[in-house]
This record gives sequence, structure tokens and C-alpha cells, in this order.
Amino acid sequence: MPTLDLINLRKQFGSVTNPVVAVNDLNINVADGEFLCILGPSGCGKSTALRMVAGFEEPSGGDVQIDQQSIVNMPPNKRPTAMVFQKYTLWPHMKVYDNIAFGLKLRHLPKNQIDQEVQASLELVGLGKYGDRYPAQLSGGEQQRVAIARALVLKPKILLLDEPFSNLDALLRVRLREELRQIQRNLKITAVFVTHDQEEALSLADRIAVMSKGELQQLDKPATIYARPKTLFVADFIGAMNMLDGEVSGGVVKVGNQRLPAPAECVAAPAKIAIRPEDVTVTQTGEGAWHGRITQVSDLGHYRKVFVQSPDLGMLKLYLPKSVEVNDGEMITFKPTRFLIFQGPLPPFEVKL
Amino acid sequence: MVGLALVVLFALPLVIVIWHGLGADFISHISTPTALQALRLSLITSLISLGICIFFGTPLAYGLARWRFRGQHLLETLTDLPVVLPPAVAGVALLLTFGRRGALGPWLAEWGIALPFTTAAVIMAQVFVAAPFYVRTARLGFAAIDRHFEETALVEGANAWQIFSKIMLPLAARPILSGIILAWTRALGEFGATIMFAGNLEGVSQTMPLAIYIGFERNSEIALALSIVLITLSGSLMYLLRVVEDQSKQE
Repeated sequence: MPTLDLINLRKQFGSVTNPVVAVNDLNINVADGEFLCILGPSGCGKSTALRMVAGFEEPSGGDVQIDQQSIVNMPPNKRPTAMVFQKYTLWPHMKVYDNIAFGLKLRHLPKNQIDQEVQASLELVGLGKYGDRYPAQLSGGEQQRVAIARALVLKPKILLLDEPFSNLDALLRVRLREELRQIQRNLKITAVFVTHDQEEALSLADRIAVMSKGELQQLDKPATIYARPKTLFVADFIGAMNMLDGEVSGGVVKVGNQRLPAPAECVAAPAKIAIRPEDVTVTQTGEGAWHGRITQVSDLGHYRKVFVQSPDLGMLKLYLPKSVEVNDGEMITFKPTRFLIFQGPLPPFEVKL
Repeated sequence: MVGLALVVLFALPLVIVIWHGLGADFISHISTPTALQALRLSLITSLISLGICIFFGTPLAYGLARWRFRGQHLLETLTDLPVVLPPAVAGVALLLTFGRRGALGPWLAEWGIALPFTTAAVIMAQVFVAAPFYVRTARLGFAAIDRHFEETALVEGANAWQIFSKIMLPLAARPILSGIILAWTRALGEFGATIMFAGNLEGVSQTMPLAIYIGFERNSEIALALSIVLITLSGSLMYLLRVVEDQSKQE
């Protein structure tokens, strides 16, 4: 059963005296049949990590193991991995059939078996009749489907995908994402998917590895990543977040003119208070109510995005249900219902009101 | 409009050559033994030169395009140099190296090989001036291929030779064809290095350009007829080049 382990994986570029660390002591385990997303902004090292798994980059340290067997000394063409790139994926001089059959022909399979497997993989991605076409005759989405078919036809132990849908328009991206997820579930193939698109990661992944500046920030299920970000970076990068400066003292955290309860474990020191835009409730004025002037209202279908200028806390972003009446320029009073207190590099404290 | 002056400078002499040549019983002049021999020699030598350029030039271009190594720019400059070097300099250089009294001359003589004033010398001169056109064009062609095409082949299990033959070579087919056309036309038109290194012996080293040069002093009609052949041949090849380049742009 294929598993993938990145163990203390490290990659540095540049000279010995002036190294640039692209990936720093990365530890990620991918379970059999799991769909793992590596998520991070561009330059965070996520692609470099994937390229070390594929064998295009040689690790500066650490190990890559498939089924507990190290593969770092194995050339890329011997590794049991297949890869789908973002662009320039299909060879333009070969028909779709030949693109998919390429790896099978290299393995000297009999012609009728190649025919069958190519056809089966084309049908898997819904392009059963496209074998005779050239890549230039396909749309971008179709090309990526063929690229996925070509990767899957080799029955790799690990499927690697490097931002495969980033060049497609938004609607198509969502559709292909769902198709890929379905295929991956049916085949129970172990997959690693690199993306900078958090929505893509949140909707696709069994677990997400968030990276920043070459380091793993958090490795958790999407819901956990969203609800309980472990670091300030993750809190800020995933979803929308109101980040406020606070000061903890004696079981209370002061934010602007407001006081919020803080767990006893909090040390008396400055802190960052993180509030999701949806973790607020509109209230009457009174004890503990926050207020501000509404500067912008956007209707986003099933909820409203509201910007509120607070006299002491600056601009806040709130997601409010449509049952709440809000108008540009009016005053609004509200209370946070849930927030996180970040102090130093430690995981945050969660407070529910 | 100003640019037209240049076009006139190109076109007028060519038109006049064709006008004179075709007027003066073209068929009988082109069928003289001298003309036919020059034509035959030119075609054979230039095709052999072309083969040598492709055989040795393709791996060189591939290596230069893909590998980063110390002295790379130097090597690239070296392979580009004959493009701008006067062919006479190439002739001198070849003579000083492979001539009877050249650097390698005595050593070659021990093996019973004398290169100057042979058909082999014609081919060497042609390769010297034509190969850079091929290597340069093919190198740029290989270098323009996105690395993902190659990396995909690698994860699919292809080895270095399979990547070269099944992926890179077909993807660079058009630039390589351009390079072949350029090198061939250059080899066909080669004059300076040939006359210095290979001499001007009818049937041995007297290619079309040489026959034109000599013929112009003795029998200008043959020179004109051969000129027309060269103009037509090179013109067709250059036109073919345009077609190839247009097609690769469309892709």
C-alpha cells in the first residue's frame, strides 16, 4: 500500500557561504490513498518539495520514502511517481493516444493491451473519443484531463500534481477539481497536489500542509486548518481574518477600548487577536458591544460582506446573514462570538463567548 | 519608401544577371562539361557537408542548449564565430592547420593523407563556414523547448536517448530544418575558403561559385548560366525557409 514520507527534507540553493533555503526540515507523511495538498504562497518551497519527490531536484538533506523505502538515489524515470504540470503538459507533436501510450510503449507492453489501457484512461477522464486528436485541437481543460489520464495510465504509486488547474478559468477549475477528486477516490490513489489557491486546497484535500518560507506551518484536515490555525501565518493566509493588536493582563485581553476574556494560561504580554468575519453577532448597544460605521456592503449570495470602520480598531470585515438589515453609512453594534489569541510562536488559545 | 533603395540594390543586379543569362542560350551553356561538373561537384560536396553538419552539429547543439558548464559562452562564441569571419580567414586557418606545411600536415603525410586541393578540402571548407549556421539555429531550437516537456517524459520513464529522439528532436524539427536550409545554402555559396584551401581544379574542387569566378574571365556565358542556377537554387531554399518559419510561428 503506497505511502509517502518526507523526512527532514531540506533543499538549499546558492553557494555554501550564502545559501538560500527553499525547503527547511520538512516532515510530511501521506497515508495510503490520501489526497494531500501542499498549500502556500509562491516561493514558499511547495513546488521544490514536490520536485524532490519526482526526482527533478536533489535534496540537500533528509529523505523521501515511498512505502518506507528511500527513493532519493533513484533517477526520476525509475521512480513509481507520475506528474501533472501546470502547462506545457502534452507533447504537441503526438496525438492524444500517443501521449498517453508513451510510457506504456517504453515498457514494451503488447499493442492490444496498450490500446485497452489508453482507451480506459481516456474514458476515465471523459474523453473516450479524443484519441486521434492533436493537443492543439483540445481546450485547456481537455488538455489537463489528458495529462491526468497519461499520469494515471502508468498506475503510479504516487500521483503528483503541480498546480495543474492554475491556468484554467474559474468555472472550469472548479469542475476539473471535482472530477479529479472523484477519480482519485475511485482509484484510491495516493496523491500530492501543490497549489497556492486555498479554496482549491480546502475543497480537495483530505489534509493540507501549509508552507511558508520553506517551512511547514501546519498539517491538518481542512476544517481544522480553518477553525484552529496553529500559526499567525496560517490564520492570516487561510480564509479572511480580522487581525487586531491586543494586550493580555489578568485574565483579560484589551483590544482597543474593548476588553475580552482571556484564558488563565495567557501571559501578561502583547498578543494578536484573530477574529473570523463570520464569528460575530449583531447586538443592541450595551455592555461589551463593539460599534462602528458601515463603509461598504457587498451582497455575496447567501451572506453579506460588510466593512465597518471602528473608531478604535480600524477597518473590520464582517460576514453577516441576510436577515440582518445593514446600510452604507449607518452605525452598527456587534460582538465577537469566537476568537483566537496568538502569543509568540505558540499555538493560539481559542475563546468562545 | 527609403527602404526601397535597398530592395533595388538587391533586386536589380539579380534581374540583370537573369536577363543576360537567359538571353544567351542558357541551355547550351549549362550543358557544357565545365558547368555540369561544377554543378555536380557543388551538389555532392554540399550535401556531404550538410550531412557532417547534422551528424556532429545536432549533439553539439543539444549539449549547448541543455547543459550549463564552465566556458559555455566561450564555446558558443567559438561555434558562432565562422558566421562573421571572412571566409578567406577560414581558408588561411585551414591551410595553416591541414596544409602540407601546416601544423598537422607532416603528421597527416605520414598516413599518406594530403588534404589541400582535394574534394575533401572542399568539404572541410564548406563545413567550416556552414556548420555554425546549423549549430546556432538548432541550439536555439532546443533551448526554446519548455523543460516540462522533458520532465514529463522523464517521469513517464524515458531515458536520455528516448527523451532526445522521441521528444526533443521532433519538438525542435522546424528550427533544425531551418538550420539545414541555412547551412546548405551557405555551403553551396562557399567560395573564399574553398579557393584558398582546395584550389580550383575542374572536377575536383571547382564548385559552382569557383566556376563562376574563373568562368567570368574566360567564358562569361557559363558564369551567367551557373549564376542563374545558384540564384534559383538558393532563392528556392530561402523561400522554403520562410515557409518553415511561418509554419512554426503559427504553432
